[in-house]
Amino acid sequence: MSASSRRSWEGPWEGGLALILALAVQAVALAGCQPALHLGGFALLPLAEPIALLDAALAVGAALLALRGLRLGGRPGAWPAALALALLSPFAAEVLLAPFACTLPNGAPRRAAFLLLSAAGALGALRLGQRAARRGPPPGPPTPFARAARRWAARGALAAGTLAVLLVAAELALGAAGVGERRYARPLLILPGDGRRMPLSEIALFVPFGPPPPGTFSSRFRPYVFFKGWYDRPRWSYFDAQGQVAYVFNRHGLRDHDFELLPAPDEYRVVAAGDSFTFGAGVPLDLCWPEVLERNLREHLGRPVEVINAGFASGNHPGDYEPWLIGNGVRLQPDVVVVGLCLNDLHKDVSLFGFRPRRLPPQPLAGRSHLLNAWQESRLPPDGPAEPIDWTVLVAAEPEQWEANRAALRRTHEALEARGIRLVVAILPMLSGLRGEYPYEGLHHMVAEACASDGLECVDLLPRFLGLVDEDLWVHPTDQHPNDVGHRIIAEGVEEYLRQPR
Amino acid sequence: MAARLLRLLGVALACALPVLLWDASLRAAVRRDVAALAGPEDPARERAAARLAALGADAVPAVVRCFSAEQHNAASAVRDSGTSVGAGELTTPAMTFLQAHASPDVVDGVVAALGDEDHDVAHFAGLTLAWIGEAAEPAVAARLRDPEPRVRASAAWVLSLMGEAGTPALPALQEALADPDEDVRHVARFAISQLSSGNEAFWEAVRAFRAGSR
Repeated sequence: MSASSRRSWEGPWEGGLALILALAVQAVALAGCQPALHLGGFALLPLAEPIALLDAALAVGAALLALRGLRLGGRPGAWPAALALALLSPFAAEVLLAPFACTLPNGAPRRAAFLLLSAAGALGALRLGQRAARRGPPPGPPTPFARAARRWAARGALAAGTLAVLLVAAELALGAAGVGERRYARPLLILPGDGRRMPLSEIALFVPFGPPPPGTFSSRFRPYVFFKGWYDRPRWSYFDAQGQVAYVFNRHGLRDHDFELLPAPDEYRVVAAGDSFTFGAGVPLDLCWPEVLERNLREHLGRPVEVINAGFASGNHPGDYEPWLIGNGVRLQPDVVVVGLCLNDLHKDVSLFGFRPRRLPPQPLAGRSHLLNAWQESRLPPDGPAEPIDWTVLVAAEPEQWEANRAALRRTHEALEARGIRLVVAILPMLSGLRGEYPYEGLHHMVAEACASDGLECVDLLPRFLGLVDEDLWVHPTDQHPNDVGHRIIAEGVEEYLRQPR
Repeated sequence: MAARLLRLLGVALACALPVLLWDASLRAAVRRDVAALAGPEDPARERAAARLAALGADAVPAVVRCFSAEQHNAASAVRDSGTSVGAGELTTPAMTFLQAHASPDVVDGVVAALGDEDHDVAHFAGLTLAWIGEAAEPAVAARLRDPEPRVRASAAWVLSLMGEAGTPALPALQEALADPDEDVRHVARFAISQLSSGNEAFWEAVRAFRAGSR
């Protein structure tokens, strides 16, 4: 057929359809259904599967249409046809190489043969397209419809471009002004060497395998466990550049520097038992209150001092500490055991945050856009006054956990006292509502009265914290554990109490 | 000028296309075959196993991609199992395949995945090597001298999971205690403690788990 005698849609029609079919072939391949040479030759191919037959039929149809488009020539048809052939070239390469599949070893040789052949095929197709485009009739003057379409396309592009520039400028301006920030992600644990991020609850993965041999010192964690806590955009300078804090355990499975099991002569030894507040969640080891206490006592007493961080050594509450302190704790021969009592020891539902949290919908685009975040924030109802939770009512209504922990403290005290070891209960405040209506105050009184009644030494650290700004004491907006400042205040309070004459 | 640029673009596209297609279609085909391995015993499963076995080491880069969280909903895994170490549907069949075909080439491919940017891929590659055990130990121990600190730490971590099979690496781990990177030193110290005597209960559990997974 000559170029002058053919219809106007011939050529572009074949080329366009060939391109669509070639794209469909690719889509099937990318869905994992391609009968491919790299799967070990056609003997193993899933050619019997209908999708593979459809793929082959599509490829053959696309190739025939593309060849016809090229033969007809002309720019509108030749380029889509050439592109379709280029897209099909990897399949052609596979078919051509199929007879040699057994002779080509797996790995680089087979891959190189495939890549060279298909690249050559694609280049050849583009060259054919170039020649066919030159061969076609010259393009005529544009029709009024084409002119209008071009004009409107230009206007649309201009409007879209202007809008895009405005949006980018708004994003940058809001970002610079700190408006519409992405909300903080929750803190996670990282295993260096593994790299996987896990929720904080995964800390339970590092418990020893099986019971410890009898007569050996043991803790809840394996010796030399090492992991890191990750926080999203932390405020405090003690975090590393990645927003991480290292948790390094010693040979005894405690988060502490290595120490000898038996104290040195003249050494003043304290065992600090407790939960995450004593362990130092979100704080480097040297800034945890037992370490600060050790340095302070050493300075003031002028003698060797060892304060052993037994946070999480045996669990989360005094019922867990009791067997560990009576067994392992006594082996350390301390002068004093300080139990850092956290108020959630009174009831499992007592939370670190003393107010009903505001429920917020998830941010659009996972919080990536300042503009969308600000827009969403503007549509949310205004934040009302924080509503405190009366924890005392909760504990009074369900006192079982507190009663059990209180009895454990009593038994621990008796066992330690029989060995000449002093037990001090340090009531650690929750860092929520310290400047206003502190919702845990009743719990402090409850513990102090119980200690007085049971003959336990007790130091309530709340007065040292009241009046301070909650957020300034938090590890992170998503983690209300005490930061370095909070740990320093705890250490100072405990030190002052220990140095008082009895 | 514009025509020349267009021509160059066309040539670049023609050369890049096969590479992109090779990787993408191979990955898709392998993912499909790994998914078939997780299915019931039938001819499709046998064909998938045969294809993957014929590919051997060539399949490894695509098989380890099945570990990626993109292949499963990690959040739902955490919710459903209470642990983030919950695996996607393709993870276990992919690990089992790699363990069953642990030739030196396959092991090298899995070891290479320890440095993968995708932490899930690196994590499950490490677990796979720990599953493989003795056959993987020399290649993993060699990675303790990798120029990348993250890979050195990964190697030490994997050795810590190997149980008794990792004990020949103890001298290399001792050397790693002097590594310039603090993380590597800490992980090496943990690995040494796991591979030292006193952990026989853990070793036995690893041995039993390895035997059961075969």
